[in-house]
Amino acid sequence: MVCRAGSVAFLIWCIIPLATAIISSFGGASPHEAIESFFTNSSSEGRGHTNNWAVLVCASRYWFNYRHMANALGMYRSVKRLGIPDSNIILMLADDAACNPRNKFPATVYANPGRLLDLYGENIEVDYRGYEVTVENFIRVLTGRVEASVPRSKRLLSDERSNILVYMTGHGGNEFLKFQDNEEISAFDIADAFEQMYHEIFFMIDTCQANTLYSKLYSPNILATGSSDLGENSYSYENDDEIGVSVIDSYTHFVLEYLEGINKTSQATMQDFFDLYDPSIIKSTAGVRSDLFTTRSAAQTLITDFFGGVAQVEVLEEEAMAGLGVDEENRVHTEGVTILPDSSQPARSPSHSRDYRSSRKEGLCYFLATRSVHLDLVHLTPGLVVGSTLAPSLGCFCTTPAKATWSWFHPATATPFERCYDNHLKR
Amino acid sequence: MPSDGEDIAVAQISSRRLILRSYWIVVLFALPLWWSTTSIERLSLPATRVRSQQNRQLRLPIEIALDSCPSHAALVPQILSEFTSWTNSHNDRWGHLDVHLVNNSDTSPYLGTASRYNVKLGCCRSTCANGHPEITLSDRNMQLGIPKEGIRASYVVRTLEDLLIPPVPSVQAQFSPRYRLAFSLLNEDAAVGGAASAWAIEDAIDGYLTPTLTELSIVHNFTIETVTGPRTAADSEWKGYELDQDELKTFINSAEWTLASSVNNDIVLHFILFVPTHSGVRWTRSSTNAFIIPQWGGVVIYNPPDSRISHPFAIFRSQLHSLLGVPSVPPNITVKTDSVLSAWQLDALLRRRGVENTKGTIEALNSIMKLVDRISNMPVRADVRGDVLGALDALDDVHTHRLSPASLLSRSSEALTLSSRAFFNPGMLAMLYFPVEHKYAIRAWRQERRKKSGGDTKRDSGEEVSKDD
Repeated sequence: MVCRAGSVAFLIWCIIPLATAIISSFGGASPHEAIESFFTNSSSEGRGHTNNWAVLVCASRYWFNYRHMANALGMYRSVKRLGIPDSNIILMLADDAACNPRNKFPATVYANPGRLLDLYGENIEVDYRGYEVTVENFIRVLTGRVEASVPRSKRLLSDERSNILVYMTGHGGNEFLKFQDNEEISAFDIADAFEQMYHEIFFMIDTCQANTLYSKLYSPNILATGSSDLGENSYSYENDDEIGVSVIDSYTHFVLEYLEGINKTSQATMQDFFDLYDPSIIKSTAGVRSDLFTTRSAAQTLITDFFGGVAQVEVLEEEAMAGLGVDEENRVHTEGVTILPDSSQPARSPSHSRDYRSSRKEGLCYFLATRSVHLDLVHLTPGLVVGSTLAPSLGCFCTTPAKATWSWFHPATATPFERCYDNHLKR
Repeated sequence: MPSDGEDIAVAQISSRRLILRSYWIVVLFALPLWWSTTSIERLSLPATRVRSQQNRQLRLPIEIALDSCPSHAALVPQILSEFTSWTNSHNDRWGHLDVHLVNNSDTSPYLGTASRYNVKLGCCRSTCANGHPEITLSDRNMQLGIPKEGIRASYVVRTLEDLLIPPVPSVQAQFSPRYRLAFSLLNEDAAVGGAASAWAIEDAIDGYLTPTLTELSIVHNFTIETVTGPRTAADSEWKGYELDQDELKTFINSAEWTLASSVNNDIVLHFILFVPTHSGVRWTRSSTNAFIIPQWGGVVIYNPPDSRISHPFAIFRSQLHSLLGVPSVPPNITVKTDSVLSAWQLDALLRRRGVENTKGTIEALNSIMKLVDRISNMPVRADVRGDVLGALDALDDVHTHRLSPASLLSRSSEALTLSSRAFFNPGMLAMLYFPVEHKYAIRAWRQERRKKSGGDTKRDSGEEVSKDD
């Protein structure tokens, strides 16, 4: 009797949590989800990145691996040219090619046989050098778990809206990359190191069998590319006879040549870049992994999203400022900035006072600028925007409360501002 | 001299046995030593406590007392019922607030009188034009002047929502207990005459920024650094006088300018006053000639002399407010207060940051648990465990006690600091080399290779072969 009651009670005790779990799963959102959705509406999903970081690693040492250091320095130069600042670049060079006693051209590193462009230059910042480039330090940088004494320039201070470019070069093999000739990092370690403090990552590898190194990634929003497939070697590009070693690798040479044609405002996409992959030029089968890159496709991602330091800006309007406690008395103000008097410039007369955005009483004069064939029309009156028209010259549209006049001036004949101002407002 | 061979043999055998036994005894005693030195210290983390945080609902108490002049007394019950139905139907936004809306300000307060919001509905004075109600804020009071035509209850409810749960500015920077504000004066081309060489920055900061920084000091600690000098910042790619959106995006040519302070790891908000060359003005498509780079800072382009644009430091102040997420008051409301921010705004900011920090703490704790579960050879030391427990205690405090907004912020900020310190603890690094997959895979790979090609014994180490063109 007791046994049966006990067993029934036990069964009931087991079923109740199950039942409540089922019931609650059909119920409304849990409280945590309520907060989640409140913040997800204004969270980073669906919004772009706001800063860019680059981690460039050359993992091999010794003079005959000159080309790996040239690879990393070439990427460094391209990335800096496209706008990522030194504070956002972590450059790891396992050896010093420029100041190597065997370097016939000291303090230089070249990436092409004619020695046309010195990559070392005068303005580079190597964050991890020599024996500091170890697997442990690399993983510490990526995961953010550095010692407290590590300075700011050696830290990857990314957040949820950072796009990170990770470039690695050296000697590698099937799911490993050799560091410093005495240790190696496996594809599993790399996969575990990409945790969460990022918006998107672009992972680029130039080693032998490079495509195997990204095969074990599992974190979301990672786009990866490697220079050669399983069982293939990656080859160097050219030797320089004077320096005596190979100076650049094929794949990286291909990438750098492509990036030379990109500037900060380029609209070229990652898919355009991947479409140009040609095994006969690169001398190995370069691969791409995009199954983790789900929020958008490579065709919607610009090259500058990873290689450049392009920011999304927001413009602050005066009406918006009013709500933040700025009062009217602050409007009229000219002091606060001291201007050096310059006797070489002619004294400016009052009519050149550049009061183009004068108050509504006097009328508004806006300068129209052209970019190739499009005419960009700025706000005529605050809040009212007129659509654009096509016109291939500079012009000035001036409006007073009484009338609106439209004048065209050829840029060669007059300085547009003064003409506009003189003709329409200075009465 | 031993003469008897048997004696020697016996002695040797027994000593040999002793030696062998002593080897094995040492190995036996060394086993526990080896075990303890090669095992990874993994203290247990309070997994159930961390999991239970997911289901906790944060309820922040708010009390609003409604009062009205006799002529509009009928409006009050309408407002009460409209408010209840609105908050119930918009649970996603109002769920974390526990709002008590009471009819009369004479009733005894649920929270202290100091933290209660008072809304007084009154008749509009003669200044109420064209049917719009006149709303004035002072401290935690709101005076609502109702025009002759009357107002709808939903209007009052929307206004309260705008003040209590203001929208988050999209440029809001990540929360940090400490910020560095870096003000830089940059000339486009200092070689050309007319470059700005100095600025009256101390006065400007005292006049415009110090009041607001003092008020926000309960939220963050601020350090200010300023840089000035005739540094050149010309970018040859700028095509004209007006900077379009593309050029604004690449305006900060940070590769050439050294702006960031490398002293410590605080978040830096940069404010740049950019002085173009004497011969060319630059401006943007805004009336303030300024723009914000989200989470990074703001830029003001100063075309001297321009008397119609606000003082640059007033613009910097509003940019700072946006970057810190300070809510702005809706345009139809006037604020009468000695300080820069009204109590409504400050409370809303404290509450919002507190809720965000709580959410961030829970995420960080979940990530720690997932990481520790996933990577079996990751050590968990005592300091990590201590930080996790400290963060959980602070979270408990936030959930169970009815904290004022200021203490909510400080406790939640503490929780966030502890949880991220635990997550980024340098000791939380998996022991590297020979992960399980590679340990077994190497043996399997070798066997496979031996099966495939018996003759080729050269190990493929992936050496690069250079080729001459």
